[in-house]
Amino acid sequence: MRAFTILVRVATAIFFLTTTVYAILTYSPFAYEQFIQPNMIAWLSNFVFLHTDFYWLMLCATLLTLAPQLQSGRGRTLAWVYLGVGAIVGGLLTVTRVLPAGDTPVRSVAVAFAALVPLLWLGLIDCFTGERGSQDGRGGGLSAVLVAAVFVWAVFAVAAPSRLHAAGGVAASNATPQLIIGIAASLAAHLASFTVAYLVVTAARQLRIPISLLVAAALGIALHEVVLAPISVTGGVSWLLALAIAAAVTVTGLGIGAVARRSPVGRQRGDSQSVVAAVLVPLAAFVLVPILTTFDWGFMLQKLTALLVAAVAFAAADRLGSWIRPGVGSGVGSQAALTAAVMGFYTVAVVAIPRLPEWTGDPRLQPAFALDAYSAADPSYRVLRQFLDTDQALPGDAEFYAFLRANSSIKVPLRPVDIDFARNLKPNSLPADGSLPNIFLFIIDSLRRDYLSAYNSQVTFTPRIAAFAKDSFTFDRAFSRYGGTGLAVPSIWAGALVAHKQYVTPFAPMNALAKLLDAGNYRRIITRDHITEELFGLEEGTSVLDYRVDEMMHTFCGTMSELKEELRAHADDRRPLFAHTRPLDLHIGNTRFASVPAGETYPGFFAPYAARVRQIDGCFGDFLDELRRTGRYDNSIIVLMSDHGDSLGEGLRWGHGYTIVPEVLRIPLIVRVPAALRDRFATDRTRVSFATDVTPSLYALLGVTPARPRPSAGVSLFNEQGTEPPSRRHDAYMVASSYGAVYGLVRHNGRRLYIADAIEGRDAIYDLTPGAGDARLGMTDAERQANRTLIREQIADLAQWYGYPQP
Amino acid sequence: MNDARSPAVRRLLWPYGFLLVFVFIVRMLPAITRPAGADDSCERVSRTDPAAMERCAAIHPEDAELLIDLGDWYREAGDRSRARSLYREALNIDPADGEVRRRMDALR
Repeated sequence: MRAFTILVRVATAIFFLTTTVYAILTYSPFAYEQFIQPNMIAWLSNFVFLHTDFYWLMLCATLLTLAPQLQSGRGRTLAWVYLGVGAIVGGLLTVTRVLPAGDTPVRSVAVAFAALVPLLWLGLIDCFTGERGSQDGRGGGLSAVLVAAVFVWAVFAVAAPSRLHAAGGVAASNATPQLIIGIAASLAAHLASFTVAYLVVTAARQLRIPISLLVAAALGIALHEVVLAPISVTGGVSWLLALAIAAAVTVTGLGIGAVARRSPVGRQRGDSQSVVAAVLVPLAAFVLVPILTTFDWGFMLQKLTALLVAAVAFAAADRLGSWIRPGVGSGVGSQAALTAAVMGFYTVAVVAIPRLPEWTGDPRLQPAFALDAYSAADPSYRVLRQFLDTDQALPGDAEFYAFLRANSSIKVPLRPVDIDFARNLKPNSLPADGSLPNIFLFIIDSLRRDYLSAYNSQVTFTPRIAAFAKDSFTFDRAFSRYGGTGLAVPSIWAGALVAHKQYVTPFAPMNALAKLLDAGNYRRIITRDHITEELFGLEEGTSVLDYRVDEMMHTFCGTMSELKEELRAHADDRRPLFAHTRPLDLHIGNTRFASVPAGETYPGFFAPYAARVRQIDGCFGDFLDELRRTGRYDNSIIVLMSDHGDSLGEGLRWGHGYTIVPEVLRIPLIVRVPAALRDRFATDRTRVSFATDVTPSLYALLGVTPARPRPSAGVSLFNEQGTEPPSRRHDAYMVASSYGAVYGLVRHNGRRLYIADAIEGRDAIYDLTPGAGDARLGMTDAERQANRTLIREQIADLAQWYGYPQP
Repeated sequence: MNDARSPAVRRLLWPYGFLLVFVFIVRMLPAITRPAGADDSCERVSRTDPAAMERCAAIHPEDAELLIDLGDWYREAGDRSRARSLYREALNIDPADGEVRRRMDALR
């Protein structure tokens, strides 16, 4: 019965915490748009579908576990009220939809909090009716805690060199100084953090503050910083949610502990369980972290794993310290000496590491780069570093990062702005004499340019796209203005930076592309996904592709088959065509566990991804053949691009998440222009270009000279023959993550990329000069300040345009 | 008297005093002890001041933008040879830059 009760409590906790997580994801507009709407997390969608059934199952199972309390004794009233209220809520869930959708933030927050109440309630019942245990441990002494710190440091440090080597980062073979810097800094951080934690616990014991309160507070802070901030849940609500979840988890844990102590065996097992946990949890983390890497969200899961390991090790040290060697190092004098020693070591590390280039006379040694690279392979150090020195490293950092956070994922309602590249562009105002070209806009989600032979001579698996590129303009320095589909795709349609909000609706006034299509009376053939449906509009008259296909299963080949059928079925329609799709073959959610067809190998590339690029290449070539067969090819503008790139293991990063880095911002952009227009227009393929330039380019190619409505808007990639294309070398172009407060600037004709990450509190400059390998560069304060000023100015311009006050 | 005060002082020091000092070290020390970076004013160098640009070009020979701007200044000043030389240096850094190539061609 005891084991059954514990099992039910754990299952109930998982159920209600998942409900809270779902509600939080619907509260965050970006998380709802990107995770829930496209059904990216399939199990969560299934959970929501079966939510009421699960609820009744949990309630019935809980009824069985509460049988003793229901009959008599302590907690009887609490148990009856729990079941009574639970049954009423179950009835409510059965007859009406309680779980929130993405447009009801108040309900989302209410459900998130409400789902925690049963956990607190059950925990109280269990604590009230179970055996009270000592929460305060025996106080194992600082020496035991420091042993635990070294143990946790070693668990992650041992794996770091091989992980870095595999990722092509700081390799032990040729960068030993950098690796040593990382490992030493990690040791200092672990010793310092564990010592601070020990001092806090000791102080709490002296003040008779329950340790469970400390645990809840620490968990709340961790949830706020590591989980909620990266999914753009910020402000007071974030803190309340984090603390409420922490309280529910802590009380549930105390309740389960009380149930476990109901038997004498359970009371005696504490020490042995601590030993087992202290050994098994780090070992499990050792295995788990490399697996988590490929589908993590900005290191979130890895950081949580590291925090769990640290917590288990600390608790075990606290419990077992005096058991192993009673009395050793437990006197105040020796503990003070140990603390002073750790302080000294940490101080030396903090002061010495930045001065190593000066002291060693090696200006190429960049300790900050080494620490950034090392922290990617050591999640334990990464999370400690986030708490130890974020926002405090440089004067002005905290204020600037707060500014970025305040202007990201804007919560206040915004009115749409009119984005017009041409005045008086009315529907059907372009000539209907058959001269308008067809437009095919293929945005391959997450396609990296270096997986196309048009950009990388090492690629041998995209011959059809290579042939297409020879007949087209291949833009060498193309970037997305937003990392992540959420804002990248709307900004392509708008031809401009859009406000950092998902979404400003109605989108029609900002949809410069749709206005052009209306002017040309284009027949629209568009893939239905959550963004086209919500923003672009799939109104009557639009032929919809992929209508019955789950969004994450949209494949380029499948869509091309449908498109070919559509073209055949309406071959007699003389209107110009606009076809648009955004297949997700290459999305990290689809490639991370994908297999490679037998017999195919892709040395030097991420094989599952490359194999899918090969498939896309074949289907793209087949589609072009179909256009040629039907006589449409010669009169078609064909744009092959991506909304953003992807990390495929660089610096142990995977996917695109909320970070922006060179491989996420760089995109392929290949534009095929009909021969008649090619004679009229010229372009400079080596000029920096952006995804937001596509729509104004289409204006130009259709004979409508685009006027730039705002500095943040794109410009045409094409200029009339005989004219000089406007230089962009002196301009700075703001880029940003769609999903978090991470901003950047592309400057110097695409040769420099500055990135300011307000979530992790760090910034960096990359050298994107061809052949430079996207190397990190050192940064002077003047450079940093200049870049930050430009970002502030461009955010201010966006705020003025959309009419929202800057905090 | 001393016997009574000693534990109180000790309790203040341990753990609260150590905790305060340690929190100070952890949170403030990096900012306080950060070494002054080797800084210069080249980020804001005037594009109409050839002497300043020359100085910065010597400090930052990898800055193609600066070389191009300096080349532009010499071209407009009539020193085609110096302009060509600077454009060539910029092309050595970024051989694919079409804009610089066009300027080189225009100087021929």
